[in-house]
Amino acid sequence: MARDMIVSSRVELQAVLSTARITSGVLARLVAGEPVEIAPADNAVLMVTFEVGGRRLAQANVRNEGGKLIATITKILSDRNEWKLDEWRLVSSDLA
Amino acid sequence: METERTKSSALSKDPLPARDPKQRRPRGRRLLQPSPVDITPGESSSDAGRRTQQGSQLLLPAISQERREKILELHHRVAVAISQAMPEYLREGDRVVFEGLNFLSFREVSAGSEAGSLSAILHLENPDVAGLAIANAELNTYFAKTVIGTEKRSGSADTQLPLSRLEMAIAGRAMRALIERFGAFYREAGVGILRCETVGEPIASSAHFEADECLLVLRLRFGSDEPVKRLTIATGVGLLSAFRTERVTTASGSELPLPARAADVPMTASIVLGSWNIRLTDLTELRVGDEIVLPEGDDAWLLGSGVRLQRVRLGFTHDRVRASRTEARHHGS
Repeated sequence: MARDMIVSSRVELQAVLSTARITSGVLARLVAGEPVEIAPADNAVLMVTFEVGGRRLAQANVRNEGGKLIATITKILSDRNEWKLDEWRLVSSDLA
Repeated sequence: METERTKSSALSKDPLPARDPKQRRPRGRRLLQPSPVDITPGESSSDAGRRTQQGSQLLLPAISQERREKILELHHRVAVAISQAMPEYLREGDRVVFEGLNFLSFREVSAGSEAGSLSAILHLENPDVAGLAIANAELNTYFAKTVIGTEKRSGSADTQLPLSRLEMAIAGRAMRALIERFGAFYREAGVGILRCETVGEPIASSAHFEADECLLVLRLRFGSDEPVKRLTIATGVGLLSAFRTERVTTASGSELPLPARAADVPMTASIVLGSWNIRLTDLTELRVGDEIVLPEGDDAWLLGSGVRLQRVRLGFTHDRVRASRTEARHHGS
């Protein structure tokens, strides 16, 4: 009975498109409105991770089909899985 | 300055009396607290028993690991710079090596000022710290041989020959050039202004230090062959506090303001496409190969260290994504 209650409970599943390590200064510029271009780590295909409560559960490739974004799960992640961070570049910096 | 009492690594054959008989450590008692002194390999492998028998004691300053590393790193760079920038005083292929830092009493330092050595009185401004530089006899002979030519001073016992006035002048000029090199690095690192006040005065008569005053001792070795050619810099321990570890300086020497440093704090940022409330049982059924239609990116948001900061609009072009702000929206959590 308790198990049924648990598995039927709902959690928030987030689709995280990209994660990067940036400085607080760059983050402040993003919040101020500067656009950022995101390049996948190691020039790999664009991916998304599905996370619950900040814990990464699955990794998926993303493709654009007629304006629809389709994610195909490629890997179920364990806690020990190392995640490569994407590169974020301020668009204004590229233009400078 | 915080101090700790420990054995000095005395090298002199003349043991120092303890400053205070109450401070005398019982013979044979082990020092449990690790010494902050960076003893060079040659010194650390020297006769430890002799040091124990001498039993001289100094109040040695405690150095934090960070400050100690900063001092060592700076003087390693000084040694490299001297190797590269003073070829007129170095034999081809020779280089200068920083041997480490140590603490000795003024009496021990002056005991190493044997015949043929050359000393200089130093002064560091802001903070005011007095110091000494001593080039041993072998180093002065080395400078003379390098500048004048080897054939003029050949022979196995050449270091025992007194230097001529010309050769002493060359050694003195080399000493000033070396101090200038130290001063340039100290100035750049914000340590202070180092000046060479006099060269050639006997340091035993120096009025700057008391006989058992603890000095910070830094040593540079020139070349690798024997006999050892060494420059010793000895200063008051006030020099330690001049190496401020919390200072951040720009190339122009001015300190960075705090906001500029705060802007360098690393953070983890994420862009979230969207979210769903799903049942755990559905979650456990996800498999490799499953396809999920994602939100189109009109309602994505930016996370900074887990905090939702604002909505962003995403534009997809091939394998790149461009994120721009749609509206300001700050959340507390």
